[in-house]
Amino acid sequence: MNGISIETLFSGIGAGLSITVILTVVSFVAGSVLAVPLALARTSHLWGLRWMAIGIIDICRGVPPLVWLLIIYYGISPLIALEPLPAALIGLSLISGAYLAENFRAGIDNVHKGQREAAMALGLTPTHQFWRVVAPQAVNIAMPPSASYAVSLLKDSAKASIIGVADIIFMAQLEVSRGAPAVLVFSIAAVLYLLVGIPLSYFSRYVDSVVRRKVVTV
Amino acid sequence: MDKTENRVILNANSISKSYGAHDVLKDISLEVHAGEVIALIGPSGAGKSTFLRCLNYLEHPTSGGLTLDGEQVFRNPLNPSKQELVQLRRRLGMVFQSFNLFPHLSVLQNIVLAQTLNGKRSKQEAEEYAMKLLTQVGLPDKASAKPSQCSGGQQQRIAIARALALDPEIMLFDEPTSALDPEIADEVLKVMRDLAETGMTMIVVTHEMRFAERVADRVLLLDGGRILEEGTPEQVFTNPTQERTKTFLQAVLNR
Repeated sequence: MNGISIETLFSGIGAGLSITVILTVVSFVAGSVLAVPLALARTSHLWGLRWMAIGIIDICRGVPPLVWLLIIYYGISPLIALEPLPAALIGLSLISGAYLAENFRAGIDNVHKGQREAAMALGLTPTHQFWRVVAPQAVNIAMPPSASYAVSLLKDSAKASIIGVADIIFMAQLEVSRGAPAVLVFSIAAVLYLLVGIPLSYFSRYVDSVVRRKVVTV
Repeated sequence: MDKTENRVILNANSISKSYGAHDVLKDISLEVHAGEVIALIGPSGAGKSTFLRCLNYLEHPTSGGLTLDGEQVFRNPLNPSKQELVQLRRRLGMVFQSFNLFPHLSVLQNIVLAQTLNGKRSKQEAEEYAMKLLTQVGLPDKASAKPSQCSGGQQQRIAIARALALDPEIMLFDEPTSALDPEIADEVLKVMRDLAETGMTMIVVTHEMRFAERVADRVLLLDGGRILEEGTPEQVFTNPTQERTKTFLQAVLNR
């Protein structure tokens, strides 16, 4: 082991940590934004819109994330020079958009129907019925599964290393190629994922308990 | 009981409603006079709630039409526009069996929401009016509470205040006390009685025969989607013309 210490490995692999966090946070936020129109289309009474949304959601969720990243990277980069990181961000945002849209849809569907009726009976416009009465409650219902999805997104982000995004795994492989022992290197990578993942899953449990106190089943 | 005027405020004209081959309402007509309190009674499945919900179009009738204050509510009753629906519902208040307060809002916000969204009052005016109504239903100290922190009876009184906040011309009550213990139901019935005394026009679907007897100006007994018996409480309760009315009243009064 020519001068390889655990400290240097940690700092070498840890250099990918910020990229992993960026991948997770940015694609979660962008996914949430994408999920709103998707969920609205998914619950629309216009069948064309509804089926389009179902199609997009099924395709985004049905193809493995790794395959998506490869298709986007190799498919788009010849057209408009696309760096690995933006390609991975696009791919992971689309996938999380599809997953979160399903959560939002379940949230909308699970708001008690008496809520919408009460809003109608008060003479609210359909827009106000949805945004002021249904949506705030739907978000509460969708929050816990979405927070736990963030944890699986963190783990899915590891696949971005395949297209050359310099995340934790990419940096780990770099260390292995320089002769560091693979088991040690990937164990360090695992520890780094846990450092982010465990607080995140505690946070998602916390969100769940808060929402449980807040959402009242009528 | 002279608060009832002769002016017909609502006219439901030949309302029918079917789900597929199942006819829930068969050609029901009703003239409601301003200030009148009408109790709709009858066995479960008679169509009472469905009829009430046809009046504010939470259910769309299969045929028939509505006239409010002498004017047709819809240009085409079978295909009402969104605008027409909103306008109709702003003139009719509704109270549900399961209260349906908005759980994500405080009690005060529940009463303020539609006032401001419908452009009826400014936020400050709406809050002042909401406090006035909360005081009227005896719950001024619950303004900042969440609905989940209120008892069933309190929630229903808040729901009444919420409906009143839009100054409705008619109040529709859909079994307002059916989800409540008898003792708790009384506090809601008292609010409704007080409201009736102010001259509010009310249509009440209810199983509370004592309320129907004491507060209603007119009692309608529905059975099988038709109006079977209609008259003053005295006529219906002491002198029913139909055999079915007698058996129904015996069953509910001897509970």
